[in-house]
Amino acid sequence: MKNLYDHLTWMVGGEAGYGITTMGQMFARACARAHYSVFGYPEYPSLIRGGHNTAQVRVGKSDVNAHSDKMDVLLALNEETVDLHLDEMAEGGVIIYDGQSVQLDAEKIRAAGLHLASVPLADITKELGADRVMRNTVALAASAAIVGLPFEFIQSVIESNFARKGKEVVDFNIKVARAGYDHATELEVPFEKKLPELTDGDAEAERDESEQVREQEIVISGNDAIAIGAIKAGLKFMAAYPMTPVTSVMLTVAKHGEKYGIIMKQTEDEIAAVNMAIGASHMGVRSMTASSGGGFALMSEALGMAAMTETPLVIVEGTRPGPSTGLPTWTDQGDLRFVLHASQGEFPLVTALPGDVDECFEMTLKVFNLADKYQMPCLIITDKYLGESICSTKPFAAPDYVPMTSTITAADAEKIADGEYLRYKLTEDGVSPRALPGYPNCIYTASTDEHAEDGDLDESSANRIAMVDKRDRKFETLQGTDLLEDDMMELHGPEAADLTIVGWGSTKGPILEAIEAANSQGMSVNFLQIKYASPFPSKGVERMLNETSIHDGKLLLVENNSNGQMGGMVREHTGIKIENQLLRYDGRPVNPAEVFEKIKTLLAV
Amino acid sequence: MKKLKVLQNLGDLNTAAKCNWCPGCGDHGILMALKQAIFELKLDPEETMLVSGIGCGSQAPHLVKVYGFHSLHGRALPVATAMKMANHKMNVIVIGGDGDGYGIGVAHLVNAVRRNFNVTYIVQNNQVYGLTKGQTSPTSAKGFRTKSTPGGAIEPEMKPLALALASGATFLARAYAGDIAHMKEMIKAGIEHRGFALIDTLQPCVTFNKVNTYQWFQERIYKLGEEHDPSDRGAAFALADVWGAKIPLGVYYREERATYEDELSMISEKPLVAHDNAAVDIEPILKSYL
Repeated sequence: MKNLYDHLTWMVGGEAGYGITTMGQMFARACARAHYSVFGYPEYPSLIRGGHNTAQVRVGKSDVNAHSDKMDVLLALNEETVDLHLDEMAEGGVIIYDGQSVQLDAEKIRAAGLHLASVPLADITKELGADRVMRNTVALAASAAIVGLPFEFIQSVIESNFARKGKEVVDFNIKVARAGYDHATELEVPFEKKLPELTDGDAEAERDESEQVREQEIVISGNDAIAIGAIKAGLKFMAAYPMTPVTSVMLTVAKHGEKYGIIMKQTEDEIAAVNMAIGASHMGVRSMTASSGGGFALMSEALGMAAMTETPLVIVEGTRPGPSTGLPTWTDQGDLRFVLHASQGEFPLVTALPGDVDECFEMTLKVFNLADKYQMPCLIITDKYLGESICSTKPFAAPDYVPMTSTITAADAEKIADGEYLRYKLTEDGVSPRALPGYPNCIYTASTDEHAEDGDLDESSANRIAMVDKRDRKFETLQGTDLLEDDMMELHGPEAADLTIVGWGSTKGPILEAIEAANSQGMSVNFLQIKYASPFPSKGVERMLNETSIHDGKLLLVENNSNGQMGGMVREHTGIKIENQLLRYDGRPVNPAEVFEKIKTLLAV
Repeated sequence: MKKLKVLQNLGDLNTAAKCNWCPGCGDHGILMALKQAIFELKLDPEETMLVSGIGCGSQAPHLVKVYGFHSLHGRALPVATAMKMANHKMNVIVIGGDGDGYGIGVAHLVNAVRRNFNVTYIVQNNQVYGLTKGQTSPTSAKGFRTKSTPGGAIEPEMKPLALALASGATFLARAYAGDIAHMKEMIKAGIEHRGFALIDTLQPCVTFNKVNTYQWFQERIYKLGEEHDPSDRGAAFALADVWGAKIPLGVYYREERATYEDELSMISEKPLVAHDNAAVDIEPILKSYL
């Protein structure tokens, strides 16, 4: 039987600006190197220094897909961390702190069934003559000792993290870490929920799949998965303006730009960013931009330009809570409708909704092909939770990826008689063969005004109808060929169930964990994940929701917004009203426990 | 690589598109000067890209037989400069009005000149919004009366060449639509300049600007002579500030500086568009996430 709290949940908290996020990443990587599955979730206020930061890491032998509402290990670098998170500690948990600088009510904490492990972080650091910031290394290693993670994995992560600074720095950090690790070991803290033992593959036959030792996996964020997906897809040009929570997309592309021959241009604003992406794409290179809601608002007009000029374009929209500046560093799914309806007029738009890091990678590959072949804008919606959380997964691979295009070659163009080429030729499938500027015999002007087949301005009624229909036809063609119902939605769990949860995007992980626990405890729940909002898999969604309703099952909508925007879309496209809702809109991600509780309530368990 | 195409006749640059400008509009002169410049410089029309924004004059790409992109109001520069990055072998020329370049798109102007892309920017400056039938523009004089400023514009006109110079421009010139031969020379000099060239072309609007007429300009313009040294930044600033009783035409400023494209290692060997996008190996990147 699966329990929501089977996995170990570790969290570090402290003042912003003191490397909390990095500590979370190091702990997650160390555990992944020990072949555990990990999920890491950072929380930080919209401040550079002075606020409260945390980084949570969940670790397990079987897949970890989400954060948790309960912690087993709290690494408290200041008192505030304990004050804020004491209530979130699971029974039997441990608080690791430096008793010389953090004053705690030990009696009260022990009475709550928690253990205390005071490690003189500052003293150990000082004794070894280390810089104050290396207190983090001591603390990280101490926590590893207490959860039972062998030192070699902490050492290996230190080696990777500090390799660039030279052997001396690496060795000194290892020495400092070793001191913290040994001190914590000697404390003999009676913390029982240690990491599950890692067995080698010898007795595999006797264990079920989840018990097997995993291959070592990469630990990656959704943002980086998108950036690497784009690089794999043949990205050549990106223009962007920094904005939380998608900034790391542009940073990751920039980091690899030189080696992969990609220009990443930071622009004066998001308007320039999207217009540059369109300009570069028009010349024939795969291009993208990324922003959050506020920046995407500035891109709206140019989104229509990509549609009208039929220029391929990929935009990443990483949502955070609005309206306006909102909660800049928190998570939300409130931009779905905004993205779908951005820009004036009517035009086809592909909108992908990845739910985890693997889908971030795969769907990025996919939309680059759709954008290129169908000469249209494609959006990828993520959010803070998906974009900045880190997750272990098998290294991405797409050995068979072939860039699709409807661009003709310069050699094709050589054969075209001068004056014959029609950039916006009315074709049966709506896709007009695209010639690139610089090709022989194909001179044309692309225009944001309505235009005729040759690109010249044409306001006639007949031409307008023909061109609107042509652009729409591309969307129909795409749905019958390169984007099928199976791509646009996925049913997780049993085919038939007493309860079907409908969700999209980053709520996937928490929902999966909740239904897995529910089903293993005798309930019958499945999860319909909607993976594309445009085009919308109307028929499939209708069929699957009816399948549950027909057997008197219930429907539950789970979203990270206050209006249930996907619920509205389901109703718009299928007529089905999802009667039950779990909507969270406080800037915090939906957690598995609250989904699980809702399931229990609805099924009256 | 494609063989360069050389035009035999100026008329080869004509298109079948119907021009929708008013008779007497200064845009006709600018268009003629531009075509002559392209023809005389023997630019291959298939290797030339003309980008515009939105405004009366922004129909220009449809009227010259080179590759064209008729973009959004104010956004021609980001579109065009990225085109240059994507294929720096193309001759990229941008054309648009004063509202487009000095009003809604002014942030892009400041940054495009600063970056010094090898792009030529022709601003059709008629000191009024024509396409929306006569409102005040950033270059309209204080007191200019229009339907949007019935009491006269309160703010003084901007000095675009001074703004561009302060932003790091490497080529600045001013020409007048009533003198096509001189304007052609200015456009040619701009295209031949290795770097960002801004050519402010003064263009009477015969329909909506009854103040800045052909006669008004004829009384004020004069051509810069040898007394002006275009490499003298201080002198260029002084000149860029002159507007009113006298209006100088000619090259205000010229400086040799590496272009933005020169600094991009990714395109030092071949244009970005010539890079292969298939079979990209991401394994080295993924290793760093283990």
